Amino acid sequence: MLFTSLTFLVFFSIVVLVYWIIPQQAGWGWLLVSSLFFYGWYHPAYIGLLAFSVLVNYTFGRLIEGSEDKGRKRKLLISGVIINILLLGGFKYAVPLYGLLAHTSGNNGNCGSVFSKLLVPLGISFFTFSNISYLIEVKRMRMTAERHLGHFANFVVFFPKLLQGPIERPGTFLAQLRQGKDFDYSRVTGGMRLMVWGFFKKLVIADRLAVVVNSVYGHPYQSSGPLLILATVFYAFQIYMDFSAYTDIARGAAAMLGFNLSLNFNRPYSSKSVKEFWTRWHMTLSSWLRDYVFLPSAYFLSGKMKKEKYAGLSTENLVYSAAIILTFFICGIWHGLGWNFIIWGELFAVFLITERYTHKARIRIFRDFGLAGMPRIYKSLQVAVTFFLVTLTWVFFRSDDTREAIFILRRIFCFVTETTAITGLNLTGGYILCRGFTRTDLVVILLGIPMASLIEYGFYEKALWAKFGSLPWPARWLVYYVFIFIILGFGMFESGSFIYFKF
Amino acid sequence: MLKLILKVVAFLVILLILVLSVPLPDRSKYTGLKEDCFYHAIWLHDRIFLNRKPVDVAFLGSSHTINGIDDALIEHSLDSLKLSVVNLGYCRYGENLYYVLMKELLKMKKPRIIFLEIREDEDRYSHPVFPYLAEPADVWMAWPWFNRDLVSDDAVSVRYRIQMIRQHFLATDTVFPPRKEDFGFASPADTVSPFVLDEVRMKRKDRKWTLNAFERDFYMAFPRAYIRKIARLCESQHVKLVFLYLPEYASGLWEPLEAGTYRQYGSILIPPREIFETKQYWGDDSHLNQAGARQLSDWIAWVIKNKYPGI
Repeated sequence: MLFTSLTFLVFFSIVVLVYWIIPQQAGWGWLLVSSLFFYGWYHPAYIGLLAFSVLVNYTFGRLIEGSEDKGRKRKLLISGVIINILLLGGFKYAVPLYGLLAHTSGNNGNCGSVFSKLLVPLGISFFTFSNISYLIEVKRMRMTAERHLGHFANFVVFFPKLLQGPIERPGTFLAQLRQGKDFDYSRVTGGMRLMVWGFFKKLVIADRLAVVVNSVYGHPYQSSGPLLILATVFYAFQIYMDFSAYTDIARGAAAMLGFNLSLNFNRPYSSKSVKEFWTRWHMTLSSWLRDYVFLPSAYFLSGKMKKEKYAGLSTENLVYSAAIILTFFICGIWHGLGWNFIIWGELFAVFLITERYTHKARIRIFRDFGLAGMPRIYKSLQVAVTFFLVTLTWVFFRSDDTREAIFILRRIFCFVTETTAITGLNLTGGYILCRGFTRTDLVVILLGIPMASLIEYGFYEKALWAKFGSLPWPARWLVYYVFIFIILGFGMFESGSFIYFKF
Repeated sequence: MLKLILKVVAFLVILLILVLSVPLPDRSKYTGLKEDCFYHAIWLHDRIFLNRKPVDVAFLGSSHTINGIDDALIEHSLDSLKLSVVNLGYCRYGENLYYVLMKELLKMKKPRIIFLEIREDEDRYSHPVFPYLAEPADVWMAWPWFNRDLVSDDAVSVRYRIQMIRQHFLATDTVFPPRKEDFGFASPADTVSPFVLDEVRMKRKDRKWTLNAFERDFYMAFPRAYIRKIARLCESQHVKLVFLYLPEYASGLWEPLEAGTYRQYGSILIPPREIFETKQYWGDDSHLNQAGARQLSDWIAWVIKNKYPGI
């Protein structure tokens, strides 16, 4: 039941209608049933896994809270986290790991065993991280363990966020579950608007970009350098539009049910540095990693290091580097067990460490070039360089394996040095129009991306939502109709699922 | 909550009206069906709307009609009467599609007689192509009683219309050149193996037509309603309506089960048994081949000449 399918719209309409009609006390039960139905639509068998995960974490939460002894609390937390990681690892990494081992032992990756019959339960990475977050928060006594099993189950399985996040923090979400809910007209209509915006980004832009990206990345060895550059840039926008569209639909759906889900994206491609990028991109994952991986490992390492400097490097910088390498290793692994994901994560670590070490030098260079007096040009350069670096990492993220990614990069950079080939990039009559991409698609993309960026700029920087809400209803309806007609007219309804489903 | 529901409903109704009121060329809904029934929808459109040749005698029905009625042969046989004959059959069965095609035909041509195919029993469901070719009003106001497909037809109709609008305005639809053929008959020259027909006969021998009177009234309310609509349409345009019985091989029924209904609105024409009993006349177990069609068409031409000389 994809968010963009008619089935989901019917399902969701029923869920919302019934939710606001039935007594509030029964609301959690209805949400739970709806979420399990939603999840069971994909793999009914994995409802058992979800139930197991809920029961284990609920029990561990209560045990951790009930324990007086700090050491015992710690042991319980470690046990709970290990169970969650085993669950994640067992399902998500068993198949590729088995393939890898079989390959190493000369079995050539023949996964004819039970592993090959297993499907990765959808959303397992997301609900496992939510569960781990819950256990840690209880251990740190930042919240009390949830007594109501139904509420806790809803925290884990709430269907708008179940498959692709946002990775909610237990404290804020459980508090919302406990609160009574009154039907809030403006919140519900705001949710609808957000959903329509998500549909637009996904169906009109992301899936249109996917035509070229899938075609080129499906046959990288038959693709020229210019085409690979174009596909990589398209992929940068595709993954953003796709994932942020899912989040918008999820947040909109949750708002229609009276819940606030966390913001997950805030115009990431307008970032002036890689560090800023990670405060704007997949924000719930980055803050999770910051709070549960980066900061604890940094504190741990700082406590262990006695001297002020090691080999001329300050302890602070060394700790930062080690913690960031570990954090982005986990970030890469979380996305998938493959060298390409590990390299993708570690490239970010390298960029972040370099940014830290070269901060002063870069300011000096820009000052020397006289750019300090031209803040707009300086900012544009920063944004462009950040976009370039981030897009470079997407090559590893999108490729099937490291070998393919390296091939693509080599071809891209060979092309860049051999500038004579640049005339080969014929946008109107050449390569990309042979890849199932029409002139209309090209126009929609060239208009759609700037338009979407401009509108999002309005959302986040100019409070466009609030201004829009205060317009008279005929004007608002006109805008809705225009958007719906754009979606109906230009949407790619035959397209596949969301990119982050596989994670 | 109620305010929101009312607003959403109002919004959707306006949206629906907007979608349905976007002007589209008539041909696009036929061309949109593309390869369905061997691109026959496009020919149907062009014969009715573009081909200036008149239609005096029309045959409407399923693939039984397409395969069984050689319209060119009948026209040739009726040369002395100067009648223009056309086979407007379309694959699969369903009275509501024939109603749509008849409406289109009567908009453009002035037929004198229409032969409507009937089979052993009526199909109780909507024709799969009905929501694609029918006017939105016909789909939305379709006979609602016992119409299992009303909701799905409505959904298909809206979805198809949106698809047509997209294709039309984005100019992504396939362009089909006009079809100029006058006749719709198409049948294989091959003959089915007699062993196959023997097997079919063995299977069909034990077939039971099990609906009792109550069930029949219940299930057949839908096709009966369309037969009534077809008959009224013909009556209002002063067109003679004749029901032509075209059973499959070894059906075991020599009169349709709904004969009573048909007789209320017109006469039933039952071709000679020998045509349907002769194995060499079948292309498969449901469709006549060219030899069978020739026999049937000769007989029909003879009937028109002798039974309906004044048309």
